[in-house]
Order: sequence, then C-alpha cells, then structure tokens
Amino acid sequence: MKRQVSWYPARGARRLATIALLALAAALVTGHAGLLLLAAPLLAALVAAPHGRRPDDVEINATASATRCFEREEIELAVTAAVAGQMETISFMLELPAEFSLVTGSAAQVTLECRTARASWTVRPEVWGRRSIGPVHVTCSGRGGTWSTAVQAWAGPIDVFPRPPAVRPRLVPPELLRRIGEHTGRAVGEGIEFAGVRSYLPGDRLRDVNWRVTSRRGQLHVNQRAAQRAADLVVMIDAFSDIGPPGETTLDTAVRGAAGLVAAYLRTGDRAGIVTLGGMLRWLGPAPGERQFYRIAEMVLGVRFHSDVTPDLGRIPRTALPPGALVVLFSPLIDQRSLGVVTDLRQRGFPVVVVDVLRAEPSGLARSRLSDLGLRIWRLDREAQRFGLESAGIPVISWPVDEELDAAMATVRRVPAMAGRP
Amino acid sequence: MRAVTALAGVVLVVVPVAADPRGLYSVAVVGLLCALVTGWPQRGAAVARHVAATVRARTGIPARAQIAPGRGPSAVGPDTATAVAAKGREPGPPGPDAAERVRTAAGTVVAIAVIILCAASRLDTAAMAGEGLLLLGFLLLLGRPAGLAGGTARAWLRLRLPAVLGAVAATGIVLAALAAVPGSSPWLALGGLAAAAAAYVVAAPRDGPDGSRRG
Repeated sequence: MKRQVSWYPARGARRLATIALLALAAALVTGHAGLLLLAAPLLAALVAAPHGRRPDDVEINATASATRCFEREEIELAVTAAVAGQMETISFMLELPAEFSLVTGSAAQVTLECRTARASWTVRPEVWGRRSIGPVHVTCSGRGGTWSTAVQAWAGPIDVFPRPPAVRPRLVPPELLRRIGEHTGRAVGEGIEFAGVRSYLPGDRLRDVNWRVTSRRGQLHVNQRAAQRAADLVVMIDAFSDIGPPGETTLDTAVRGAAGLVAAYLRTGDRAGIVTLGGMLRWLGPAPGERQFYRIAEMVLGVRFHSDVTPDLGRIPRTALPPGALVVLFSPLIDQRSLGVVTDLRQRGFPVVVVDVLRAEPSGLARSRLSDLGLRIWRLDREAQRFGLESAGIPVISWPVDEELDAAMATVRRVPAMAGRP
Repeated sequence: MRAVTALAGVVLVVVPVAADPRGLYSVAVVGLLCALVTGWPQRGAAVARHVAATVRARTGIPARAQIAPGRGPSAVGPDTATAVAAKGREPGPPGPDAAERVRTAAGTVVAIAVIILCAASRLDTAAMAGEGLLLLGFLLLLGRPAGLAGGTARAWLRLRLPAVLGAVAATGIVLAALAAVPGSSPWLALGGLAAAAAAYVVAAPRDGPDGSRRG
C-alpha cells in the first residue's frame, strides 16, 4: 500500500540544532567565546551531512500469517517498506498491544543503506478477541540522517479464539433427545449399557439371551440395553460485569470455560448453543458439528464490546433454548440480572448449572479498620447467594485458578430434574 | 554502544566540574544521573513509572489508563464489581518505545547540563574544543536508531564519518579564530563563524530536486 509521506528534520538533527543554538545563546549571554567551540562542531555536522532525495511516497505492507487462530498460537508478522530513493536507514519499531507477547525477533529492527527493507516477528496472542497487531512504526531516514519520515502499519484484524480447556461432557440433562448420541438415556434402545431383562419375543437376537435368567425361569429371557442419546447444551455467558486483571478477567474465564464445554459436547455428537447476557441479547440455537464451535467462537468475540442496550432477558427465544436443554451459566455471581434469568429458567423446568468464575476477592483498604469486616460480610453475602441458588435446584460450581474445569465439574454428579416441562 | 554513550555523558559532565570545582553541583548531579539513564534506559523508564505511580497514589490523581472511556460491561457493573476491579491495575513493564523516549530525553538534559557547566567553568580553549567534539559524539550516539547491533552498528558509525570530519574542521577554524584575536568580542567570533558556515553552504555540492548534483 503506497502512502504519501511528508519529510521532517530527523529527531537527531533537531537535537543537534537545538543544542547548538543553546550553546550559541549561552556564548552571547555570558560573553564566553569558548562556548562557540561547543556549537561549531554541531552546526558543522549538520551542514556536512549529505542530503539525498526525498521521495513523495513509501510503500508499506504488513501481513500476518493467519487471520484466525487460538490463544497462545504463534503468528508470523512481516512488514516490508519500499522507498523510491536510497535511504540511510529504514527502521521498524513494533509496539505490541498488551494482549500479545513477542516470541522471536527484536522489537526494533534496522536496515542500512537500502531501498526496501523487511522486518519479521513471531508474536503470540495471549487473550481472545478480534484484534489488530501493531502499530509498527516505520521510520525512513534519508542520506545523512537529517531528514526522516515515519508511518505506522497494522496487521489484521485477527480473530483470536479462546483456547478451550480439556473437559469431558460429564453433566447430562435428565431428558435426552431422540437423536443417537453417547449419553446413556432412560429409554430402552440399542446402546451398550445394561437396562433390564424381559421375556424373549420373536425377532430378538440370540446374542441378547440371558442364559442365567433363562435357566432359572425355564423360559427364554433377553437383556435390554439403554438407548444412547444425544443432549442439548446451552451455554450462557454473563457479560454484565468484567472484572479482574487483564487477560484473566471473569469474562475471559467464562468465555474459555464456555468454549471448552461446547467443544466437549460437540465432540460427542451433542448439540450446543450459546446465549450471551449483557448488552444486546445475542444467541445461537443448538446445532451439532465442529462448524458450530467456530460459529459460537465468532459470536463470542463480540461479547466484550461495550453496549448501552438494556437486554430484555424475559424474551430468550425458544429456538435458543429448546425444551429439556441443559443450561450452564458462567457467571461471577455479581449482577443480579443474570441470576434472575437462571432462577426463572429453573422454575420453567430447565436443568441449570452455574459455574462461578470469580477467582479473586476484593482487596481490603490498608487504612480502613472496617475492611476485614466488610470482606467477611461480602463472603457471607456470596455464601447466601449460592445457598439460595442451590435451594432452588441450581448447583453452583466453583472454578478456582489452580483447578481444571473438568475437575471442578466433577463435583456435580447429576443435574437435578424437576417435575413439569417447559 | 549504550555503555559508551553513558561513559561519554559522564566524561562530558565531569570535565568542567573538575576544572572548576566551585559550584553548580546540583546541575552536575542531574547531568550524571541522566548520563547513566542514557546507558540503561529500561531501568530509567521503570524508575520513572514507579515514581509516577507513587505520586499518583499519594495525590490521588488517576493514570491515563484509569480515566479512559468505559471498556465494556464493567462500566455498568455494580459497586462490588468496581471494588474487585481495582485488583490487577498495576503498571506493566515499560515498552521499547518508552525506553527510547526516556533515553533521548535524558541525553538532551545531559547536553544542556554540559552547556551550563561549561559556561560557568574556566575551561581552557583546548579542553572546550574537546568538550565540543565529545558532545557531538555523544549526541550522534544518542540519535542512533534503536535495534543497531554488531556489524550494523559499525556500518552506521561509518556513515557518520562526513559529519565528524566537518565538525573537526569547524572546530579547527574556530580555534584558529580565537587564537588569532585573543580576547575579541564573541559577536565578532560569531559573525566570522556565520560567514564561514554560509560560505560552506553556498560552495558545498548538494542534490537538486531531481536528484542531480550541483555545486
């Protein structure tokens, strides 16, 4: 991409001129002729430096090796600069945003005596989101280093998907779909789990005959097996609040956990969907397949953007929440609106599980004698909140920093069922 | 090369103080500290940020990042969210661009301190000429592009040769002028120097607008 540029005295040349003028002024003010010996070399250096051509435009190209990647995957970033005339130096200074880290390559790279220059780096995105890499400050200095021009370049945008943690689909809703899947249902079918024994009927396979029961009863009996069924999973992300250190905020944790859970269920043939609470209500109905994971991941990228829209949480569409779907809410349990939503869903008969993603406590004020008391009240308040949810039949899972999501979810053996279907 | 720059800065400051140890120690101390910062700008930037954070903490003035417009749902979160959000707002390590700015700013301060010290001291003409050439070397090293190393640095230094030769010539001219008319007015010396510079600019060959050379 060609860019029109303006040339300015280089920073070093301006500094030489400024210091020389100061020395001259000091000589005049103090009457100390010797100070001219400080100014003369600086001025002479400016005059003696060769002055080359200054082209009107510079061609800059910034490219990244991928437009989509997962967190902590490495990306090659390359920037090339081409100038019509001979330059003394073309320097590149990569200023990475906090969400990226530099893996290889020096942040500052310089090429001497050239018309074209290229700099490359390997960077690693640390936090999910839709981001551009840069800016890369490209500074071209003409011959003698007295004139320079600077342009900025960005590469991207790049969609950085959240890296899903390893999770197994442990939680199974009481009601399963009629589609074949990997969860053991209550209905009798063609699965592998033992479900019961019944009398032989014409058409039953001989390999299903239970010979022990047959010999005891004197009549042919066959084993029944439980049906293997698929489940519907709807993940909800509470984006009403986003707190914590950058890269490890509650929203980051929630999005990563949701991605892990969705990937695990989709891998076993289940259907997965998502609803984001916060700002404009966004949802994606449950669907199977790997493609659905990427659709969900792309939708999640928009969660972080600020929105002044107040969502109508009472109108979550039926296609986003099919009957019997397992609902898992990732929330820091701070905003009452999201808790109201899950309580309402539970009362409507949905199996609901809440994953608490708040991993830090408020830091007490050093000068306040009441901070300890305030912290204790805060803890009690949260305990009461969790107790209230569990009393309503909503298990609350804590996900500490030093624990895998899979281990945290293992604490819930089964999702409570409730009479009455939505 | 960073250590050489810092050493040049230290020598620049120490020479006028050693020649006339009567005062201006505060200027010398500031100059010495800044000379050291030009050698180790990362530490200088870290110290500057630490000092700024301490001052902000004492005075309650928010940092620029903390008064930036809302960056997401936290802006509408309840009070509890704000209390927890206060964690993790520690300043990060200074970036390469910040270190570069600190280095060049410190170098400029060193140069100004040297001018003040030289104006107040009784350095003889030869020492002053040495100071001038050393000051030029210091400023040239200060203006080197970030990221120079090894062979590239040597090649870049070779490109500075015409400027250094011009500076040596100019120093010689001024020395000769001062020796020829001892005790003359600085105005007179300045006029002579300006005339010499103007003659050089007029006579020296340079590139035309279309790249052709003309004399």
